[in-house]
Amino acid sequence: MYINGKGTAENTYDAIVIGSGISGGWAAKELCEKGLKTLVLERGRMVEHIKDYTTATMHPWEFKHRGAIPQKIKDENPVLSRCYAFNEATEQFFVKDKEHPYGQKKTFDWIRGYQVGGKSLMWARWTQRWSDLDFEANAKEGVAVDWPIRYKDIAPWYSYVEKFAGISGNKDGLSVIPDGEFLPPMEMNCLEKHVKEALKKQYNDRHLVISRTANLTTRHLGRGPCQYRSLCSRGCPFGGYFSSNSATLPAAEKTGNYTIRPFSVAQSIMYDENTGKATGVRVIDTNTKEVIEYYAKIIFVNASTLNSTLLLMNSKSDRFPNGMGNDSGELGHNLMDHNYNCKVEGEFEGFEDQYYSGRRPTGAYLARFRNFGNDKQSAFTRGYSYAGGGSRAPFSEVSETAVGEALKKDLTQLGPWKFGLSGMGECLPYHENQISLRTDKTDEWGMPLLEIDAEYKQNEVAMTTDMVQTAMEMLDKMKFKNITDKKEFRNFGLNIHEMGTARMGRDPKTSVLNGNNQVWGAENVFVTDGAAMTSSACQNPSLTYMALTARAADYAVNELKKMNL
Amino acid sequence: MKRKTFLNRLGLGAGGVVLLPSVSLLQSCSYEPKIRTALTQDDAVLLAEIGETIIPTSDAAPGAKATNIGAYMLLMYEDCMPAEEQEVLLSGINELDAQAVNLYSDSFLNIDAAQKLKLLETLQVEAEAHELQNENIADALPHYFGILKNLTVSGYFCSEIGMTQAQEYLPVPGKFEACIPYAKENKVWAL
Repeated sequence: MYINGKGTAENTYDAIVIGSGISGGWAAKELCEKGLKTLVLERGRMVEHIKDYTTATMHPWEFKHRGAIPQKIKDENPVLSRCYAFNEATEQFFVKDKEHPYGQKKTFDWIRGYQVGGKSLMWARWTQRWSDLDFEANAKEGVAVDWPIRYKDIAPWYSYVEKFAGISGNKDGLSVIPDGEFLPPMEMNCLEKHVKEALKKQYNDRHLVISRTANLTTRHLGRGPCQYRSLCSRGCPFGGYFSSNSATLPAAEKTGNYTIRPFSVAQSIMYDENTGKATGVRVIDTNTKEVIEYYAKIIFVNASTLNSTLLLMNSKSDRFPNGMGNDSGELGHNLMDHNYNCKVEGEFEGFEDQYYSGRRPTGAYLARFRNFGNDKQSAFTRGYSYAGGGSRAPFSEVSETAVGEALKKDLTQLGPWKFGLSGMGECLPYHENQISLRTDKTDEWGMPLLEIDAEYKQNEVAMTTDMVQTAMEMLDKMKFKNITDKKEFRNFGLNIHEMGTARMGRDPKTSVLNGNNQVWGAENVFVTDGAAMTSSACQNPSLTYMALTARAADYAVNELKKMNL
Repeated sequence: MKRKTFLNRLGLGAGGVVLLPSVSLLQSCSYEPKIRTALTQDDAVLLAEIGETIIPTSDAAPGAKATNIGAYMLLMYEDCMPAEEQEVLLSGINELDAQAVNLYSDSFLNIDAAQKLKLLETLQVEAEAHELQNENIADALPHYFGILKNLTVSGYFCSEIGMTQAQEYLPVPGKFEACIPYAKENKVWAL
């Protein structure tokens, strides 16, 4: 193995951030702004804001297959082809199955974005806060381990990241999704407003609000506003939504303290047995396969949930023979995703003379009501929310049977209003849901392949039944017609909310990270992406990663100043 | 004399009456239904004609043919269709070809618009029956007319004509208006 012989000084920074996605971008921004010379390692290629959004302004008819993915590519990428956001306009941002194989003991769809900006380019941008209902649940129920933090610990950091990211939303006063620092909300359409009121009349615990969303409703810190094209996942030439590329990385760059190194796979974190600290990161240049060592006082691991844990597992030393921070044996365990196996739709009679204009890049959000307040379910613990939305499209029963003029006419007029409800359920952290390193296979760069072994269990299955049934009941009560269960089924992983495997906790014997996201036993290493999650809640997780990252970066720099790291 | 001129014009010459049965024979022989083993560029014209019958030109906007629907269908067949569906479409096109000859003694391309529509309406009924029959069968293959109709609709409404003339296309809306009035004569937004 050839190790780059450049002087240690030349390869030394104050901080190294591994990964440039939604949490790595935040680590880079915070550390650079606090004056640390920071090296950001990204395994994929460079994607420059606007310049590299190659499909962003193309019309649908300008794509060879009008957006469809050719069958040959589907056949070569069975996993990726199941991802809702993968199409001819976005394929450049997704990892192809063959390029980065992994093992599956049970079916797991692992959707990845290896480039500067990571999945922050293609994310769905919904940003509900967590509440103490979520942070206290494990402790109250005796599930897994207790979160080492509560809402009050993270609330100021939610505010901090919301103010910079730019989150549109309404102050709804709901304790399950606490209000934040919002830009003006996007508006609900007439059917959504009707459903909101109808739910209020029929129930006392069902609240439909506009989803808090990282799309800018006003110009914000030189970005946006959103132009209502709803083509976000191609990258936005208007900077209309939050991504690392549009927001955090440019802010880091502005400080003069930022260095980014694309095509750099982190192979392992180096550890000094004498000081009990990490010394740096061993990197493989993906083009030259050269191995290079970089050194820093602190290291932020933001490689995305499974890759962050893979890196810790691959960072073995005498002190950590089973992977860095793995005194507890919990590293790799407690893998979660969300459970979106519920999609119900109904037709509404009325508002025939109402429509909307522009493509709103978000939807309505029906906040959690199960196992909250007076509600108590015996079949399952925790709860779910629904993504909801009213819409009208030009398709009616006529189109199903007509050919010729009648069909054309029907397809150029609006059909009835429809309202959809998609369940978003919490998943419990199970020790048995785990990832491990394969001993028989490595990738092109010598990294061991991951073996993933995870599944939904009894609690998730019982919750799915209730999600579907309750959605249908609600639509029925509100006099919807043709209510259909779309029988949504997604493999574990496909909701792209993989969480856990290096959980935070209060005790090094049962967790990998402490309450400040420090690795137990290697306190100058911080893991602040999805790997750190102790439970999954039912809210979309990215806002919480952002807040945890900014909080940990603040703590890290304070500790550095106090010479504690 | 008049009668002779008439027969000459028909190119039948004397004794034309005797030839009458063979006139229809002649017609049915003028087009042999093809047995294709794959859809090729040669079929683009036929596909375009089918598409135009499904979404015809009207006062409001050009029909599917103007959007090059034949080439689009062929491209989707070649690049974007699972092998089993390719089979269904291929044998379906052979069948449609033969059916035009059976019913109208000519190729689909040569029969008139009303005949084309009538034929496709028959296939539409067939496709509905097929769907009903397969309702509870997971992964049942679609009827070929269902494929043709879907391709026409998706191709037309993703085309520049379909999006900008049959519908209203706003590439950069710039704002979101949550509730606006709508009347049947208004165009719908292209998405």
